[in-house]
Amino acid sequence: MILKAFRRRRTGGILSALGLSVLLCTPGAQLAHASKNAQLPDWVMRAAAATGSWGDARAVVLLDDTLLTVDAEGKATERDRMVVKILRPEGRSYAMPAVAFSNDGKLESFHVWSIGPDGHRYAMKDSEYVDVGVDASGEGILYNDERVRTASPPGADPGGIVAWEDTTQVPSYMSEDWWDFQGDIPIADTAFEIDLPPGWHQRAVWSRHEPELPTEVAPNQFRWEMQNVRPINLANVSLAPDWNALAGWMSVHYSANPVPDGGALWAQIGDWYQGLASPQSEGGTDIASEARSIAPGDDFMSKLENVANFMQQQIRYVGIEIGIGNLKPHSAEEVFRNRYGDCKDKATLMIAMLDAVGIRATWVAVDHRRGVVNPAAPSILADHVIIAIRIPAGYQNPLLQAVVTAKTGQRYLIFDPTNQWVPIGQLPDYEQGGYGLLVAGTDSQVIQLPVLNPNLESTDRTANFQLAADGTLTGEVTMQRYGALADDWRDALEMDSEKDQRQLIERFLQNDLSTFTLGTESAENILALEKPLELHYEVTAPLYAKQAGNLLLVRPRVLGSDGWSLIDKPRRYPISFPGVETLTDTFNLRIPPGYTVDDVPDPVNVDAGFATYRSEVKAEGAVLHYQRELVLKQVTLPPSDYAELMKLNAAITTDENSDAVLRKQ
Amino acid sequence: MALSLCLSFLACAPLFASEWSQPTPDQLKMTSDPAAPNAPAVFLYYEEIVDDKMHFHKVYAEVKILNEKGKEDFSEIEIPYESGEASITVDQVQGRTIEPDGTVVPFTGKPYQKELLKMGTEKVMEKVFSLPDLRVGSIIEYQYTINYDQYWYEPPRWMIQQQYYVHEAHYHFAPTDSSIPIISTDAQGHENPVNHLLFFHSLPHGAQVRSGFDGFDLVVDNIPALPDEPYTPPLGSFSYRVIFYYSPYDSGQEFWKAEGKYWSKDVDRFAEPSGRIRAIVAQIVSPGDSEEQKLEKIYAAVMTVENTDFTREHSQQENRAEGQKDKRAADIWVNKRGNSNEITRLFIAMARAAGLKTYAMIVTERNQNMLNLGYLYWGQLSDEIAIVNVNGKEQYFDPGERYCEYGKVDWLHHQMMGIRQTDDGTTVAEVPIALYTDNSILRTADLMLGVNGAVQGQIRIILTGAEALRWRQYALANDEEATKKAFQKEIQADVPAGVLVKTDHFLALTDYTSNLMAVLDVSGSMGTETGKRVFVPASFFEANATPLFSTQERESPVDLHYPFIARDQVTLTLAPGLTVEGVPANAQIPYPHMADYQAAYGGKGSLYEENRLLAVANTLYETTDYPQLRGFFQKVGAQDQQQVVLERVAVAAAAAPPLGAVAK
Repeated sequence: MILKAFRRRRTGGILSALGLSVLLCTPGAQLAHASKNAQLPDWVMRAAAATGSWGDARAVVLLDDTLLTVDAEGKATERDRMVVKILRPEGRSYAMPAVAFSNDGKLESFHVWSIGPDGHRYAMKDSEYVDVGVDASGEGILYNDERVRTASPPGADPGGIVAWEDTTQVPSYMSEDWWDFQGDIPIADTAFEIDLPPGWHQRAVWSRHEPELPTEVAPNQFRWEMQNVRPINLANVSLAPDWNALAGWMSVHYSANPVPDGGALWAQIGDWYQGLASPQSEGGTDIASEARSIAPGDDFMSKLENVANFMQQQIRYVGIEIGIGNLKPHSAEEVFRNRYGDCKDKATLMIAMLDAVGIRATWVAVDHRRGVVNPAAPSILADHVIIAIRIPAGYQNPLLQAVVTAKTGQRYLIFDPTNQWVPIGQLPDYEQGGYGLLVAGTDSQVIQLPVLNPNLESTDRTANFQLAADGTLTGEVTMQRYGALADDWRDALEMDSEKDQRQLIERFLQNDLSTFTLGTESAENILALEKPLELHYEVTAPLYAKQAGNLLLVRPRVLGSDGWSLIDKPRRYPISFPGVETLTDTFNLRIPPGYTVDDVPDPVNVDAGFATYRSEVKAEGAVLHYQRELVLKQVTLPPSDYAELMKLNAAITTDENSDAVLRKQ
Repeated sequence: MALSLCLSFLACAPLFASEWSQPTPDQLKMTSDPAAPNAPAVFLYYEEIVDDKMHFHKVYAEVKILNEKGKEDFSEIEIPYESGEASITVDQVQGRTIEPDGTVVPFTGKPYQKELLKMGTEKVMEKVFSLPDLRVGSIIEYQYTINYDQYWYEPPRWMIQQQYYVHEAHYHFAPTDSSIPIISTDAQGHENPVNHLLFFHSLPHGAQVRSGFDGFDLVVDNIPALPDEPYTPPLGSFSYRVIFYYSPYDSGQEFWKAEGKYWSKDVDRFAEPSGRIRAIVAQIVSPGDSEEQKLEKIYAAVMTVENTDFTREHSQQENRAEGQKDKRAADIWVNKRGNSNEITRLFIAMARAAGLKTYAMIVTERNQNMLNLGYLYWGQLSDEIAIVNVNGKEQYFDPGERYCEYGKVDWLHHQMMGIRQTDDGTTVAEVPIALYTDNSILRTADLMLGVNGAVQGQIRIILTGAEALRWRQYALANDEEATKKAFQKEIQADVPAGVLVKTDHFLALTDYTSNLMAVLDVSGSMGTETGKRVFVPASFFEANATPLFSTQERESPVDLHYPFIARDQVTLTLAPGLTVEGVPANAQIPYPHMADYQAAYGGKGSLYEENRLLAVANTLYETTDYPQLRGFFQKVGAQDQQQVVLERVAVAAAAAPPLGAVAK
């Protein structure tokens, strides 16, 4: 209720002299030399004249027009034109011209124009633009060569229009370009055009949209157009898939040779990537020696575990991405020597180490945002690389859960060496159910990553509590977390100091207990990935039970919330859970002497198909037994299941907030 | 030749050590540090050597990695610097990792050079590198040198207290030869010949900057890490540090007087009650108005001016396109647009034109910085407010905070020290403290509960002071629709599970002279049931709230920002078939001289009523006060979780409402 603060900073002052962030946020007032009432290009004026009804949108893209020109040597340049109208104050952020470029994708030109709400027209000058290095250090990227040129155009207020045009070179190793025709604001008019040299071929693939045929506006020059594209706005949409997994896009593959379709195109992309990455996985004797040292013997599983453990514990995540380094891994030798690398580097080193101990593995290009990789749209689009390990024919081991079978019949164990907390055999929850490109030469294919059994992804909380007549609750709690879903707690507990660990538990308890004291606490098996993560702690919560006359009200569900924050509105988008899981709570609560149980909440038993929830409170003598179980069996649901999810959630919420009534004898 | 001296910030202080250190066996095998039990990493040794004669800063660091977070934090070493007029370069970057078994792994690569920002001829660059084979238990060492050209002087800013515990540190500064003429450019753009080398220091007990023939030295040990906790005062203003600077001034008194004079002159020039201003004021006030009436009218007029700090700063070209010239107070009025300080100066000009004795004051922002008079740097001050003598009594105004109520100042400026104009110059002054009655929240809910738990009704929330200002300014930066959503989101977070709130409308969202009112509709369901009874939260507005402080330990003081009083009045009418069986006992939770809480519950038949009051009078708490403060909010939180017991009773068949019906 209190102590909220939305703050903007006044201009000037000591801090403005100190920070880059302030520099970046400051509009270009001090630089502004834009010419007033400039002559604006016709395409800007035509787009600016557009009228329409865009509801409560913050801004609207009046024009987004891309022209990709490929010359006979395959050198490509892309020219983008954009016109944005600001409709509401929050829309200003959409009218920030920006173009990314790099050493391999040089920026050839950048121009910005604007029309103020009062009709004044401005053309900005080159000296007014700002280049900003793309800072991905938060994602562990030490260095990349990407930069963004941007500007703060005059007149960018509600009612104002900002337009820009940029031309960039397409890196020579790319043969695919994207048309993102859907945004989170309306797009009134958008087009993508490709101008190919005679004899060249193109293949368009579509994601989240029915394919549309282009117009051949000139020989071997194709143009696709769309009008009034509805936005995807996920604000206040709970359990939403990633925005990028919902928005429609088209990509065009171009080549001097015919471009295949479907699975053949996936295979071609995979084969190309194999050619790029494979030489990097040729490890030297030092790698082989280390691999044989840490993974001796013949047992397939123990070799896997040892190499995986080495990758997870000894090779830290540091990314250095220059030019094609966005796609091509560093050599295994370099990664091994430095003991660091990014996801593709780690995958490459692991492939080399496994190879040294006789296990074959390959790369899988995935996206950590489930649903972004679309099997219907063959593309290099992905943001993460993991590995697929060949399982010997006939080999069976219950520890191998994340298994897929390729079209060739080869079984693969999918593993992510970048996630240091998910043991080999399992898969991080955010990757489960998504798709990826299995790199296997001409046998490359798109595969669906497995969704693990919810029984393996479980959290068990058990506790014994004692309630005093003054309402004070004391007890000991144990939490056991099994499977890939334990990765967040393992990470937090391993990263944190003892003080931070206590605060982590305190923040968790704060959700359910208004006043409490955390007693001793300990965590076990943080690094022992093959064992469940265990957390033990003692807690005392004064005033837990509430007096109402001669009644004492006590909530049997002392800790933990299994429900979701849902909004009671018609659902347009699919539902996405972090992962499948089973959550169980078993609490025993001894009531104070002199009290009897007068009333307990009714049992709950809901089967929603995709999930079940059971809960029961029983009184046995002076002990209240509370037991519940939520089993979530699917990672994604269609929008039509939202009503059922709401019902389930209501049942959980009611159960969690229900009180038992104790009466003084 | 006069050389220019830049007192601006150098992005990162530099380092030095001629040779690597040799860690002790204890340091190598250390897995935790008793001196810093919770530290992710500690500086075993840190050194900064600055030589303004030779124009370099050198930095050397020896760091013990104690856990995964420490490994992550030191995975990348970043050295940012500005590449512009000073021709700064970063050289001699070296590093190595020493494993717990003593194995040394040298950094053999080259650091990468990143361009972080390029604006005209100015560039902000960064050199980055990652040390090899870094693991928990490793000791890393790195060093680098920042060189700047011979016409540039950069006295050091030694930030002694850092994010990590420091076992031992050495700092050395060799200033430039005093015979070299240097011109200092101050924060207000005035150039003066430098006469002195001064330094501001805040050091632990016993630590001392020693002056020798070759400069200044400081040796410190066992420096605790800066705490990182919510609701802290700006700790950066209190941390251990030494800041050197060349200055034209002999003393702080002289500095603040002279710089205050510059600032005051600038204010008076801008806020001159010119003929244009007088003509404007003449149209706003009437000759017969009292001083108070004049000021209220002027304040109201100024409040209509667009504050670009909430919208968008406009470029000079834009201003010119719209006919704006060199800015003076009258231009701000004519164009109806200015930033916070410009609008404050407009108010001052107009008040002066109306014959009111009016002064400007410049202060810091409470959540960012606190004025330290021992540090002779004007740039500490940022926000201007106005002081007007009305009927012989000085009143403080904050017209730069658009929609701030007349006669009040934003909480960011309360109790802040600054420099104010006086009749004969400037002086140090402090903005008065706010009272809890200045910031009030009244929440009323009139609700009806159906037999099946369906709830309907309306909420009215009336805000004054800081909360009203917060929402009005939110609406300025966004718009009313966005504000409605944000407002209901905050209320929604704390009301009982199942209850849905939706903002219907605001009253006086842009009228600071009235209380801000929000009206919200309530729907959804509320309460839980057993076979015999139904339970509903006793405190409707706080049923789902979590107490302010969860953690038991606290290292830093607490700043609750502003005092306030919050009252809740809830009426719940029950449908036939439900009757109140029991309500919680009334409660009072005092925190003498600091805060108070009272809750009263009434229930009879089909009506339940709740009256709740929470007042926080004091906002600043020492660390030693924390257990009491946390205890107060925890008790309040526990009281707010009380339940009302409703009983199901039989109703005549004819009168029984259908399932889900709500009492009318």
